[in-house]
Amino acid sequence: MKKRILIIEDNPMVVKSLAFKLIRDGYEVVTAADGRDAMERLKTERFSLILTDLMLPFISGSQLIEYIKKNIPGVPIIVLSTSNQDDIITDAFNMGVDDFITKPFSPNELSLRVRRTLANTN
Amino acid sequence: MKQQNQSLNRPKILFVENDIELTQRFLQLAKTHHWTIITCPDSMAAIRYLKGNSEPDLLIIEKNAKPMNGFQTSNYLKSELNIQVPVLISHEPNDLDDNEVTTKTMFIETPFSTKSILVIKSTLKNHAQPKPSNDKHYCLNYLKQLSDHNEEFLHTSIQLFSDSISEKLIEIKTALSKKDYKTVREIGHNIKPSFEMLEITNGRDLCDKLVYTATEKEISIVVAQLSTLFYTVNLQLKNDLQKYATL
Repeated sequence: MKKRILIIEDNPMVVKSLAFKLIRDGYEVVTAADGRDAMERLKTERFSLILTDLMLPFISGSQLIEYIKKNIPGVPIIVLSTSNQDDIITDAFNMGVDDFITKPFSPNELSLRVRRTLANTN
Repeated sequence: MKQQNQSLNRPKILFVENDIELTQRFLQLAKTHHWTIITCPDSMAAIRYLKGNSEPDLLIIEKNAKPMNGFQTSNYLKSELNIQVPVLISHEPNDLDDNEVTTKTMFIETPFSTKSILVIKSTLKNHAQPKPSNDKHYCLNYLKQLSDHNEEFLHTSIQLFSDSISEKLIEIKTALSKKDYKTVREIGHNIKPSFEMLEITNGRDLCDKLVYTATEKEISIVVAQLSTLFYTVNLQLKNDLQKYATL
């Protein structure tokens, strides 16, 4: 069965690129364009991995990470960051995220990190 | 093009090698570096690539490439296509005769090793001089590489760029009129990757300025610069898409 990945990101170009690459890599991809939509999905659906931006409308990435860690702690999280966000990334790691990817991502790097994170979880 | 790649810390390397194991070994060694690597099995595939795409920052080609060998390909690129890309010719140890060694060509030994990476880094550094820029403000190399030149993906991405940035610039201007600088900076943060994906270096820098350094007094000037840049790029994209559609 295909692994399901939830992408939480509000830049449509980034979403399109991530989804394109991950679908090509053989994953099932679900997207949420803001924190509220993501929260709804997290409450009702199951995912193997979550890729999330931190600055999101309505509910922030940090709040989502907090929710995931408290309610579905086994699900790995990769943070999508932009350059110059060192402090924010450090905070995210302190909250227990598994990895981060800088936007715009390197396609090979994305494949590798997703594969590695999923393997570590299993 | 080169400046844009370098500014993204992602120099582009065209790698020509027919041996799958050597290619895999090279990709393995290179994966921790921020390089965009395009692989070709032979010199004709490499030439076809160079004719249809922007110049890479470095060409690595095996000495015994087919149908033209590494030396012939290098000469052909310089004399016939006027492509001045630095070339590293890969060869097995002791596989060069004296005549070849005295040329000005640069070499790299196989099997590839960490030493090869140092040679490549040094060559990239030595040749990282700015080139005269062309008129295009954008470059599709990143999206092409990501999608393996998938046309539908490219069209959709360009359309998304055009639509989403138009919308966000309206939001920025609305926020600016209310002196809501926090929102202006948040939107700048949101759209920065879109400019980066089309390798629009100026756009990325203006977004950075908007998010991190512009004072409240400067912010409206930066927004105006960003709008002007977007208008220019958008026009180019629309024209290019029309030309593309009629081919």
